[in-house]
Amino acid sequence: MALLQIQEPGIKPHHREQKFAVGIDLGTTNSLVAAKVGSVVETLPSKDGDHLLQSIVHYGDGAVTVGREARDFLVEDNKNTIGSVKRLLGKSQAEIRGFGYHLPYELDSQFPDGDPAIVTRHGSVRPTQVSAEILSVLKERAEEFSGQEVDGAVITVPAYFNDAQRQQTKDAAELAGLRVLRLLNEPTAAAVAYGLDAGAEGNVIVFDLGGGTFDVSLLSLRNGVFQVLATGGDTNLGGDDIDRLLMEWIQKRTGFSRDIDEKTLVSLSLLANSIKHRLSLEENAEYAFNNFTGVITRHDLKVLCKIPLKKMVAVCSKVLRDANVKISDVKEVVMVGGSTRMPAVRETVADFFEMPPLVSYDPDKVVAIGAGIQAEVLVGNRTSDEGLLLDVTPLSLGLETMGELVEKIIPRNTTIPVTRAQDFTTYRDGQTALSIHIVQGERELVSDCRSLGRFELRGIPPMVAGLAKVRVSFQVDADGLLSVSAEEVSTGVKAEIAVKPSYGLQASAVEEMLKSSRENAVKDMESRSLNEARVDAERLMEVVDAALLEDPDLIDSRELSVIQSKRELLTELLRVGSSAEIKKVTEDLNLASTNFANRRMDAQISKTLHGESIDSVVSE
Amino acid sequence: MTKFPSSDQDYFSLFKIPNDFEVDLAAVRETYLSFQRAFHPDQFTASSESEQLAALQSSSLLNDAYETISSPIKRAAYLLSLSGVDVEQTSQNDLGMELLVEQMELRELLGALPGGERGLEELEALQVEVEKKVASCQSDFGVAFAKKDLQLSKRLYHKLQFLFKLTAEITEDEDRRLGLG
Repeated sequence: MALLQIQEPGIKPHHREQKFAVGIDLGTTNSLVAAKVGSVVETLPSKDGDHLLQSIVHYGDGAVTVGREARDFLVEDNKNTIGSVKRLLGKSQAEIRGFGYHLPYELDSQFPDGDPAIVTRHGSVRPTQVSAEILSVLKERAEEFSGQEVDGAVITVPAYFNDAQRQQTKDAAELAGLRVLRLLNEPTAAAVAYGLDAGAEGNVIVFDLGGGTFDVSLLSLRNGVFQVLATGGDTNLGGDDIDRLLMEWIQKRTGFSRDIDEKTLVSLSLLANSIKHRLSLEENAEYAFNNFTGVITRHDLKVLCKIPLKKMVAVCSKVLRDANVKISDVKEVVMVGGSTRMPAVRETVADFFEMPPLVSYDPDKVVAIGAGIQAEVLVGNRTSDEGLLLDVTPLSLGLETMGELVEKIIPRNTTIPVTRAQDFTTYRDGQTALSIHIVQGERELVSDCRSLGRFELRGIPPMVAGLAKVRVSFQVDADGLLSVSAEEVSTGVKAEIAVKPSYGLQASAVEEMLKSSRENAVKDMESRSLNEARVDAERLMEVVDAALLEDPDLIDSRELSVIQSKRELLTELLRVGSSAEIKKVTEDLNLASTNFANRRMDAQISKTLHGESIDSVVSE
Repeated sequence: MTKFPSSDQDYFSLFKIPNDFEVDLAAVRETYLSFQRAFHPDQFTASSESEQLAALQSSSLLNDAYETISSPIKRAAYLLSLSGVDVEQTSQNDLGMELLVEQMELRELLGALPGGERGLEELEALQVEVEKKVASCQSDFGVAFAKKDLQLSKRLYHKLQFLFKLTAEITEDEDRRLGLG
């Protein structure tokens, strides 16, 4: 569908040729490439006239094939035919196992750097490599179509993709020989295509339900400025999940046992997928499986999808609340992604937003076209007096601090690019290194957030605890990618950054994180309180122990026994006590040792007055 | 070579407005957007690496500046810090008995709300009341700061901080009651 009349730039040096830039939608189910054709940005077809390229890669005996040809091998060669690889980007082996459903291909133990390894007849391949095969085909398609080499590409990602997922998308592009002009959020890309075409102004919701991911973005469109106000979503929710619900339903209906061989599994998933598509066009669909035939209605499917639909509505609510915008202030709801063709989805959206959603833009193509439009701007072919895209970071970014707590540095929905710095200090006397653990998520405890990486800042000069000032800077660039640096302020010692992508933690799905953050707000505050109480108690105990070692003669046996009994009690409470109990006994220990502390102070002062330096008196 | 905005100037001079609490938000937004049009990294993808880095830094600076100036509480804190007042340190004098008592009363009120429909109505009524307090506190701050009464301004700032926290708690409570999340 032809969308936009792009103005030729007014002044252009004659010797400089127009660069060839493309927009690429690398989807879970289908991928597309778009570029300027004449004066309009359009998706580019293959030699056979297909605009959509199925995101399926087949590692055959000789060659690697992508798309429709690869799809033919899904059943007969399931181990070497990889579909929905986008689901694996940025994930660890452990996370993938935690999906809760079986993959038709084989995942071996991972590569040394943590990347999962898919076993194929071509050897072990990474999800980035598989994705690169898809991108290569699109690159070739563009180059054959235009006769020019691709100078750069804007590649879209779900708005809710975390840092690891984004980085791997970029890696895949580099493997395919593509220069990435920008990673663009899918809903924003769609908004650009829609906004420039419709010339609309006001608050627009982009509801993007693809094969594997779900995003909702609320944008304000005004005077050519596309500003994302808030974004939400789920990187593990899409058409594939609806297929799986259908598969389970069919299995039950047809009396199939739980144990099902892989080839049958694939056949069943193809059947479910076909039923789903048919029900978008007709009220009923007949099906046959395992010598059983039946009929399923559109209504049956809607009932089956109750939970995913509820999740989608919850995300929409949250986005409106985050942006402090009411439903009545929303001007338009734009449907994006093939799965929004489902009547159940359209009805749910219409009910929630109290208006019929806009379905006139091809939901499969609009993201690629928006990316193509932006590519023209970024490669320098078009001046951007008109469009300004202001996007946001979808999840809060923070650091681990003492007690396994998270200190949020950049809250979610902050406009990017953004730089924030926070000062931290040492916990122990003489501490010379700081371990910096970066996490993404909304919870209070580190273990409940997604770990992005760890690095160490070494060479901090030994000082009294709390004196060193380490400034940690977070920067999120326009692609939504994070860089972190650290510096000890007084000495200028900079971080020795060896970022190790940490996949070790059990990372919850992005929307799980936000949802459980709300549910657990109260529980988290208690956890935080407990951890803080523990930290204070441990610190006091260290101080008391050190004092007892240094000045045993300044304390009498009665005081000593009181201090020791409090200390023992505290040790026990640290294991099993509540934060209130720990706080109380910490205070008791503090009181019990007050006189002793005062005597030590007096002794040191009197020693100074008699000409001895404190340093020589306090032994190391 | 483009002349990028410098981080040496404060946010008010960046947006070419006086160091007052009262701001014309619409005008600030226009200035912010016109700056972003000029300095956003998207404008520099075809430029040299040093220009790209400068663009990234400028755009980040502009985002920080805009966020600070357009949020009343952040703007208040920023104005105080520009005047040499340390907003992190809170002493007894800053809070005053009256404020502490008010805080406790409002908190108790929030905690004592019943469940169900009636509770939701009362919650909304409380929200309206708190919003009024926020508005009047903001206006008081503006007056105090304009008169350069830093001690009073600091006190009002802490009151505003508390009221914003309370607003956030009310919103969370509402979310929980509506089952959102």
